[in-house]
Amino acid sequence: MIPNVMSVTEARSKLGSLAENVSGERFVLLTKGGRTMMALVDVNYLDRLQKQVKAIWQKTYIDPTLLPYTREFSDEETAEWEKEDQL
Amino acid sequence: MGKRRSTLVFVDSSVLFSAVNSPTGGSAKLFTVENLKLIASPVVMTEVERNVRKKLLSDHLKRFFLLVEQLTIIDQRPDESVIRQAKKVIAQKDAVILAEAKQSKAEVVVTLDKKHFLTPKAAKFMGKQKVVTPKMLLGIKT
Repeated sequence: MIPNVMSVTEARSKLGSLAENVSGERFVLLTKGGRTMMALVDVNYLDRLQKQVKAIWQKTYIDPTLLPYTREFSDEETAEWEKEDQL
Repeated sequence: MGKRRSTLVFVDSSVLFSAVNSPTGGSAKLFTVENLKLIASPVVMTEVERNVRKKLLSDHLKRFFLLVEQLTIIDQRPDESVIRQAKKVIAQKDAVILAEAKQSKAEVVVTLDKKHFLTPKAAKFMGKQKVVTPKMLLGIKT
Protein backbone atom coordinates (compact mmCIF):
# COMPACT_ATOMS: atom_id res chain seq x y z
CA MET A 1 0.00 0.00 0.00
CA ILE A 2 1.47 3.33 -1.04
CA PRO A 3 1.09 6.06 1.58
CA ASN A 4 -0.68 9.17 0.33
CA VAL A 5 1.94 11.48 1.80
CA MET A 6 5.68 11.29 1.06
CA SER A 7 8.64 13.53 0.58
CA VAL A 8 9.62 14.82 -2.84
CA THR A 9 12.97 13.01 -2.45
CA GLU A 10 11.27 9.69 -1.79
CA ALA A 11 8.77 10.22 -4.60
CA ARG A 12 11.55 10.93 -7.10
CA SER A 13 12.82 7.36 -6.84
CA LYS A 14 9.32 5.88 -7.02
CA LEU A 15 7.80 8.03 -9.72
CA GLY A 16 7.06 5.09 -12.03
CA SER A 17 5.11 3.10 -9.46
CA LEU A 18 3.44 6.22 -8.09
CA ALA A 19 2.16 7.13 -11.53
CA GLU A 20 0.56 3.70 -11.81
CA ASN A 21 -1.13 4.02 -8.43
CA VAL A 22 -2.40 7.55 -8.78
CA SER A 23 -5.81 7.22 -10.36
CA GLY A 24 -9.30 8.57 -9.87
CA GLU A 25 -9.57 10.13 -6.46
CA ARG A 26 -6.35 8.44 -5.24
CA PHE A 27 -3.66 11.08 -5.10
CA VAL A 28 -0.30 11.56 -3.36
CA LEU A 29 0.70 14.62 -1.35
CA LEU A 30 4.38 15.53 -1.63
CA THR A 31 6.26 17.23 1.16
CA LYS A 32 9.37 19.33 1.13
CA GLY A 33 11.11 20.27 4.37
CA GLY A 34 8.20 18.74 6.26
CA ARG A 35 5.57 20.90 4.55
CA THR A 36 3.03 19.64 2.04
CA MET A 37 3.95 21.44 -1.15
CA MET A 38 2.22 19.70 -4.07
CA ALA A 39 0.19 16.72 -5.13
CA LEU A 40 0.40 14.02 -7.75
CA VAL A 41 -3.11 13.61 -9.14
CA ASP A 42 -4.80 11.77 -11.97
CA VAL A 43 -5.11 14.35 -14.74
CA ASN A 44 -8.73 13.34 -15.38
CA TYR A 45 -9.52 13.92 -11.71
CA LEU A 46 -7.83 17.33 -11.85
CA ASP A 47 -9.82 18.21 -14.96
CA ARG A 48 -13.07 17.18 -13.23
CA LEU A 49 -12.20 19.25 -10.16
CA GLN A 50 -11.40 22.29 -12.25
CA LYS A 51 -14.72 22.02 -14.09
CA GLN A 52 -16.61 21.69 -10.80
CA VAL A 53 -14.90 24.72 -9.31
CA LYS A 54 -15.60 26.72 -12.45
CA ALA A 55 -19.29 25.74 -12.39
CA ILE A 56 -19.66 26.74 -8.76
CA TRP A 57 -17.90 30.05 -9.10
CA GLN A 58 -18.68 31.18 -12.60
CA LYS A 59 -21.95 32.77 -11.56
CA THR A 60 -21.02 35.49 -9.13
CA TYR A 61 -21.58 39.14 -8.42
CA ILE A 62 -18.49 39.33 -6.23
CA ASP A 63 -16.08 41.94 -7.50
CA PRO A 64 -12.71 41.11 -5.87
CA THR A 65 -11.65 44.77 -6.06
CA LEU A 66 -14.61 45.68 -3.84
CA LEU A 67 -14.00 43.08 -1.15
CA PRO A 68 -11.94 45.51 1.00
CA TYR A 69 -15.09 47.66 1.23
CA THR A 70 -17.16 44.78 2.57
CA ARG A 71 -17.34 43.00 5.90
CA GLU A 72 -18.49 39.75 7.39
CA PHE A 73 -21.81 39.98 9.21
CA SER A 74 -21.89 38.84 12.82
CA ASP A 75 -24.43 36.26 13.97
CA GLU A 76 -25.81 38.81 16.44
CA GLU A 77 -26.60 41.39 13.79
CA THR A 78 -28.18 38.89 11.35
CA ALA A 79 -30.36 37.69 14.25
CA GLU A 80 -31.39 41.29 14.95
CA TRP A 81 -32.19 41.84 11.27
CA GLU A 82 -34.29 38.69 11.20
CA LYS A 83 -36.27 39.90 14.20
CA GLU A 84 -36.80 43.34 12.68
CA ASP A 85 -37.80 41.73 9.37
CA GLN A 86 -40.71 39.73 10.79
CA LEU A 87 -44.12 40.93 9.65
CA MET B 1 -54.79 58.11 -16.01
CA GLY B 2 -51.02 57.73 -16.42
CA LYS B 3 -49.06 54.86 -14.99
CA ARG B 4 -47.94 55.44 -11.39
CA ARG B 5 -44.25 56.29 -11.21
CA SER B 6 -42.02 53.77 -9.45
CA THR B 7 -40.18 54.82 -6.30
CA LEU B 8 -36.43 54.32 -6.54
CA VAL B 9 -35.37 52.27 -3.50
CA PHE B 10 -31.78 51.52 -2.51
CA VAL B 11 -31.62 48.09 -0.89
CA ASP B 12 -28.88 47.86 1.71
CA SER B 13 -26.94 44.71 2.62
CA SER B 14 -29.08 43.87 5.66
CA VAL B 15 -32.26 43.84 3.56
CA LEU B 16 -30.88 41.84 0.66
CA PHE B 17 -29.26 39.30 3.01
CA SER B 18 -32.49 38.94 5.00
CA ALA B 19 -34.59 38.59 1.85
CA VAL B 20 -32.34 35.67 0.90
CA ASN B 21 -32.42 34.22 4.41
CA SER B 22 -36.13 34.50 5.10
CA PRO B 23 -38.72 34.25 2.30
CA THR B 24 -41.56 35.29 4.65
CA GLY B 25 -40.06 38.51 6.03
CA GLY B 26 -40.64 42.09 5.03
CA SER B 27 -37.42 42.26 3.03
CA ALA B 28 -38.52 39.40 0.77
CA LYS B 29 -41.95 40.98 0.41
CA LEU B 30 -40.42 44.15 -1.01
CA PHE B 31 -39.42 42.12 -4.05
CA THR B 32 -43.09 41.45 -4.79
CA VAL B 33 -44.35 45.03 -4.49
CA GLU B 34 -45.25 46.93 -7.63
CA ASN B 35 -44.16 50.53 -8.08
CA LEU B 36 -40.89 49.98 -6.28
CA LYS B 37 -37.75 50.02 -8.37
CA LEU B 38 -35.20 48.23 -6.22
CA ILE B 39 -31.56 49.07 -6.78
CA ALA B 40 -28.30 47.89 -5.21
CA SER B 41 -24.69 48.85 -5.73
CA PRO B 42 -21.84 46.49 -6.66
CA VAL B 43 -20.48 46.86 -3.11
CA VAL B 44 -23.79 45.66 -1.66
CA MET B 45 -23.86 42.76 -4.14
CA THR B 46 -20.31 41.76 -3.26
CA GLU B 47 -20.91 42.03 0.48
CA VAL B 48 -24.16 40.08 0.47
CA GLU B 49 -22.96 37.30 -1.83
CA ARG B 50 -19.80 36.95 0.23
CA ASN B 51 -21.89 36.49 3.38
CA VAL B 52 -24.48 34.24 1.75
CA ARG B 53 -21.70 31.94 0.57
CA LYS B 54 -20.06 31.96 3.98
CA LYS B 55 -23.03 31.82 6.35
CA LEU B 56 -25.95 30.26 4.48
CA LEU B 57 -26.63 27.15 2.40
CA SER B 58 -26.37 26.50 -1.32
CA ASP B 59 -30.17 26.82 -1.66
CA HIS B 60 -29.85 30.33 -0.29
CA LEU B 61 -27.27 31.11 -2.94
CA LYS B 62 -29.75 30.02 -5.61
CA ARG B 63 -32.39 32.24 -3.99
CA PHE B 64 -29.89 35.11 -3.95
CA PHE B 65 -29.41 34.78 -7.71
CA LEU B 66 -33.20 34.66 -8.24
CA LEU B 67 -33.81 37.78 -6.17
CA VAL B 68 -30.99 39.65 -7.86
CA GLU B 69 -32.79 39.22 -11.19
CA GLN B 70 -35.43 41.56 -9.78
CA LEU B 71 -32.89 44.20 -8.80
CA THR B 72 -31.15 46.81 -10.87
CA ILE B 73 -27.45 46.88 -10.12
CA ILE B 74 -26.30 50.44 -10.51
CA ASP B 75 -22.97 51.39 -12.02
CA GLN B 76 -21.26 52.91 -9.01
CA ARG B 77 -17.82 52.71 -7.40
CA PRO B 78 -17.10 53.61 -3.77
CA ASP B 79 -16.28 57.29 -3.27
CA GLU B 80 -13.68 57.72 -0.54
CA SER B 81 -14.69 61.30 0.22
CA VAL B 82 -18.34 60.30 0.78
CA ILE B 83 -17.19 57.38 2.95
CA ARG B 84 -15.10 59.79 5.04
CA GLN B 85 -18.14 62.01 5.55
CA ALA B 86 -20.30 59.02 6.41
CA LYS B 87 -17.83 57.92 9.09
CA LYS B 88 -18.64 61.14 10.96
CA VAL B 89 -22.32 60.25 11.31
CA ILE B 90 -22.44 56.47 11.62
CA ALA B 91 -20.47 53.56 13.08
CA GLN B 92 -17.31 52.83 11.11
CA LYS B 93 -18.63 49.40 10.05
CA ASP B 94 -21.69 50.94 8.37
CA ALA B 95 -20.04 53.95 6.74
CA VAL B 96 -19.40 52.31 3.37
CA ILE B 97 -23.02 51.23 2.92
CA LEU B 98 -24.39 54.59 4.07
CA ALA B 99 -22.06 56.28 1.58
CA GLU B 100 -23.18 53.89 -1.16
CA ALA B 101 -26.82 54.73 -0.38
CA LYS B 102 -26.09 58.46 -0.48
CA GLN B 103 -24.24 58.17 -3.79
CA SER B 104 -27.05 56.17 -5.38
CA LYS B 105 -29.40 59.18 -5.13
CA ALA B 106 -32.30 56.80 -4.52
CA GLU B 107 -35.41 58.44 -3.10
CA VAL B 108 -35.65 55.83 -0.37
CA VAL B 109 -33.02 53.73 1.40
CA VAL B 110 -34.28 50.56 3.02
CA THR B 111 -32.40 48.94 5.91
CA LEU B 112 -33.00 46.64 8.87
CA ASP B 113 -30.32 48.32 10.94
CA LYS B 114 -32.52 50.79 12.79
CA LYS B 115 -29.97 51.36 15.52
CA HIS B 116 -27.31 52.81 13.24
CA PHE B 117 -29.15 54.05 10.13
CA LEU B 118 -32.31 55.55 11.59
CA THR B 119 -30.69 58.30 13.60
CA PRO B 120 -31.03 62.09 13.34
CA LYS B 121 -27.35 62.34 12.28
CA ALA B 122 -27.75 59.82 9.49
CA ALA B 123 -31.02 61.45 8.39
CA LYS B 124 -29.31 64.86 8.17
CA PHE B 125 -26.46 63.31 6.17
CA MET B 126 -28.92 61.72 3.73
CA GLY B 127 -30.81 64.98 3.14
CA LYS B 128 -33.91 64.39 0.99
CA GLN B 129 -33.31 60.64 0.81
CA LYS B 130 -35.58 58.86 3.29
CA VAL B 131 -34.17 55.97 5.33
CA VAL B 132 -36.78 53.39 6.33
CA THR B 133 -37.17 49.74 7.31
CA PRO B 134 -39.00 47.25 5.06
CA LYS B 135 -41.98 47.34 7.44
CA MET B 136 -42.15 51.13 7.22
CA LEU B 137 -41.93 50.96 3.45
CA LEU B 138 -44.67 48.37 3.28
CA GLY B 139 -46.81 50.67 5.41
CA ILE B 140 -47.21 48.17 8.20
CA LYS B 141 -47.58 49.67 11.65
CA THR B 142 -45.10 48.26 14.12
